[in-house]
Amino acid sequence: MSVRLPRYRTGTAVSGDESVEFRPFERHDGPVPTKAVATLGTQQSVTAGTYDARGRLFSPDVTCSGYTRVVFSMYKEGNTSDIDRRRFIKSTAAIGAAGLFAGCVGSDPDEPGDGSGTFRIATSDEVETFDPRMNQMAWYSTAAHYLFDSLLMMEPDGSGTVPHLADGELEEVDETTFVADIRDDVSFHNGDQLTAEDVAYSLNWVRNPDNDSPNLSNVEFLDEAEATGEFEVTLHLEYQSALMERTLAGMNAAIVPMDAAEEMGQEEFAQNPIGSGPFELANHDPSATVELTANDDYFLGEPALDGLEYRIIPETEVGYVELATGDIHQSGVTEALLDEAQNDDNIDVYQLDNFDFQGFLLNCLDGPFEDRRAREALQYLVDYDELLIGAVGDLGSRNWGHMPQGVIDAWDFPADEWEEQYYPEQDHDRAVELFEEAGLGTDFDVEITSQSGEATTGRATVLQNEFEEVGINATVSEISDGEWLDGLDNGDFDITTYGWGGNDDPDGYYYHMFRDIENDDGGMSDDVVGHSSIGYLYEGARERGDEEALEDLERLDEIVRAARQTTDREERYEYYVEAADLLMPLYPVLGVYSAESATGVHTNVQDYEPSPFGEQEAFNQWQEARIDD
Amino acid sequence: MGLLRYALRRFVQIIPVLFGIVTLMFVMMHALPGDPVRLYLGTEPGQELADDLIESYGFDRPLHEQYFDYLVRLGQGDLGQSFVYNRPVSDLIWERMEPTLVVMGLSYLVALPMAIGLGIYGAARHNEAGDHASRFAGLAGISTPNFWLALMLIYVVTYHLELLPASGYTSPFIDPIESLTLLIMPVITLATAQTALLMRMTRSSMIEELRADYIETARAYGIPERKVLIRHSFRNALLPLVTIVGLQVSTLLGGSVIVEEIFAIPGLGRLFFDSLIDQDYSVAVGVTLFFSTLFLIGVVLTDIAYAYIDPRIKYD
Repeated sequence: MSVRLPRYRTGTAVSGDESVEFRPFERHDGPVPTKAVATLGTQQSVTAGTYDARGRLFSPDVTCSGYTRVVFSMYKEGNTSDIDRRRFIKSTAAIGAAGLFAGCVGSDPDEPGDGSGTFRIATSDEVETFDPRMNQMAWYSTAAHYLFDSLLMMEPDGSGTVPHLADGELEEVDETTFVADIRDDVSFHNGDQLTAEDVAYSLNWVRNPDNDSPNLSNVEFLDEAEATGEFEVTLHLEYQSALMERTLAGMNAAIVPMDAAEEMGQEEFAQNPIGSGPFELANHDPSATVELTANDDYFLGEPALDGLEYRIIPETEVGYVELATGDIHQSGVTEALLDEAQNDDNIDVYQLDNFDFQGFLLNCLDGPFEDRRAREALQYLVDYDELLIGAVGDLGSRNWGHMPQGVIDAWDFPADEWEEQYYPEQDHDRAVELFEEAGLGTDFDVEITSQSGEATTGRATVLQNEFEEVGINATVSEISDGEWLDGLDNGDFDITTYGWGGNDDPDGYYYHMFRDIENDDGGMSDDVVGHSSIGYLYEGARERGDEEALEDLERLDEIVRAARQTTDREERYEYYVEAADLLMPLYPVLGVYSAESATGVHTNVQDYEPSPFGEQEAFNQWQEARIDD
Repeated sequence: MGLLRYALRRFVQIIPVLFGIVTLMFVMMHALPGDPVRLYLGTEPGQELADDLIESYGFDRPLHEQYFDYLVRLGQGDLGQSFVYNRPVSDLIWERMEPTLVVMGLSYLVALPMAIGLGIYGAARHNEAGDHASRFAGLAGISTPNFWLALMLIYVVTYHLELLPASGYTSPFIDPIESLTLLIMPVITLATAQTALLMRMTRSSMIEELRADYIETARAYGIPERKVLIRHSFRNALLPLVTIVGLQVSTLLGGSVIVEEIFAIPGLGRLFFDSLIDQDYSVAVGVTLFFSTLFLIGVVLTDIAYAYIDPRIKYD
């Protein structure tokens, strides 16, 4: 029998006298091999999967290039070695994944991670607050997972959540009531045991408007968390939420120790955080370093690493130099340095989806693009691929239906149909025709406002050139973030660069970008025109009395709200397909690309693979990083 | 007037200047387009939260009220609260003062002796090969943008030669050796332009002095050339040099913003830069006030030094 690598190659499994077949996306209930080796020759690329102890594929589409050999290494559950279940799962996944991703031979599974050292990571921004309840910074949202735990945790491929502090799956009492059992073997860094009271307190704290948490809107589905036992929490929801599990796996729902947090107060807690994570804060030199040391008493076991050190290096290029010289172990890689990093034998480069939307916002209320035909003309005016290259080069991919490719793939949205219908080939003649139909001709001026930054000015300049090629006078104005936000609020723009960081769920795009804010309960006040992320599409239709568009928009608003209040994935799928079909013919935005970030990891880091979902990547139930200097 | 009274008078004169600077900075920061709450909360803030923040930081009050309130608190030694960090500005300045002052101080320590030495050498070897070389070096030093020099140093010294770390800061009071290795490139970056400028200043002052009649007289008396250069000529050439040294404090402070950003030094320059980006009013005004105070103290000390260097100048 054999280990079958999905879609491409068949390898050989060796398991004493036994071997077993693995298939993607299928749970494997049979015996788990003590060791499975797949030798794959010298093909240039392969798609393969790695499996956890239960035979579940958790990394279904891993592509590696230029490898010579790939080793899957698995331990048999309950074997006679001194490896416990946790280490077994981690080693299995990590070794397999590391071997595949790095395009090289994996570690010897017989020598479980006994490495140590401090893993040094470059980051460009300093920490403003260590309190995850108040944090808004993207990198600390990832780093906070090392200090704090949450009820659930995202799987490394983002396909779902698994229980973390919760002792098993959440029990659904009814649509708006869930019960979570809490592990009774978890302690905070100060030695206090983590109980249901801490969980309830943490969730309710963010939910309480009096605490001014900027993350409140992410937990609005929660009415109250109630400690219904020493280790049992009941979640009472305002409404059924499709995003509940994801939220409970994130740092908006980080669990903090109630007594310590209350005693310290928010300001002090923000500087001296106490969590229950695999690392604890050892030292914080403002704007220089954040040092974490391993938590010996972590409920999943002691991490192999002695610690983590975040070095705050504002310039990515400088961080890369430190990585290349081996002074740090992980750094971002700019587009300009990408080739060099990929050719450096000491650096493994990972391109991770940022899960965002990048494009242009068109003013649908006022100016040349209030007419739908003028907005449609833009689709013919531009060469999307050229815009993508002009903005980020290789660090991005086209987006479809205003969602990144990762979301399209995960949900199997009909991107091909959308491409055919709404993303036409560049055709300047057709663009001019549409401008003329809209009563504009080519004798008008367009101002493209752009936030500063290579990616924004790059794509704005490409767009400017396209306008000028058909004889339309276009200017690019680079403005500060403050001016840009002012412009969004008062509608003072024709076309402006726009970016939105969503997540891997369509809701992150459709609800936040395309709902009618006027229908929000306690939403924006009247004096903030504000939510112009849809380019005043609703306001424009209302002002022109465009009944047909209004009808579509009313439905659009209705379904993007409904889609987040059901957990039925098929129902949600239908909602989003309908929403896209309503939205795209109105062309409120020009969706150009979704960005990727490149990160380089020094090859002396073992059993570590960065993930766009970034939860305790250096130490979790799947992998355990160590430094092998 | 005695030195003490003169110094006191000059320091008192600083106060209205600082008042003017604070006023200007306060108005300029508030005149910037954009709303710090929107910048902090992003494109889709919850209105309730936005309102709470606006109210708690007083951004909803008329500008003149905010200004007078700020002045009253400033008079009590309170620089305000950072909107971004939610911490007192004075704490932030205190924490980040050391790296900036250390880098600046070391830059002076490197730049001054080098500049004086090369300046005197150039003057003594006027129009000879050594003078041409030092002039060329000076010109290159002045013409080289410090951000470019910083990046080139990192590229050559760290990336290719792997001699020094590219970034970071360790206090010299904690680990002097590590601190030194981390500070070499930032200090070279900051000191290069200073050295070049001061060297050219020293050289031209010295050349002028060396042409003076009293120097000819001294030489005619047979005083050794070294003594003529150092004791007679240099002392008189010091006056313009001291003026420039005092004024260069502002250049160094400006340079520190770039140097700290590139070499990842957690100093006031970076704090100031970030506060402008985030429109963190209190921090921007507080750091400006701190920088201005340093600069003005430098100017006053320069004035005091004049009289010490040239006894003809009286404190009146």
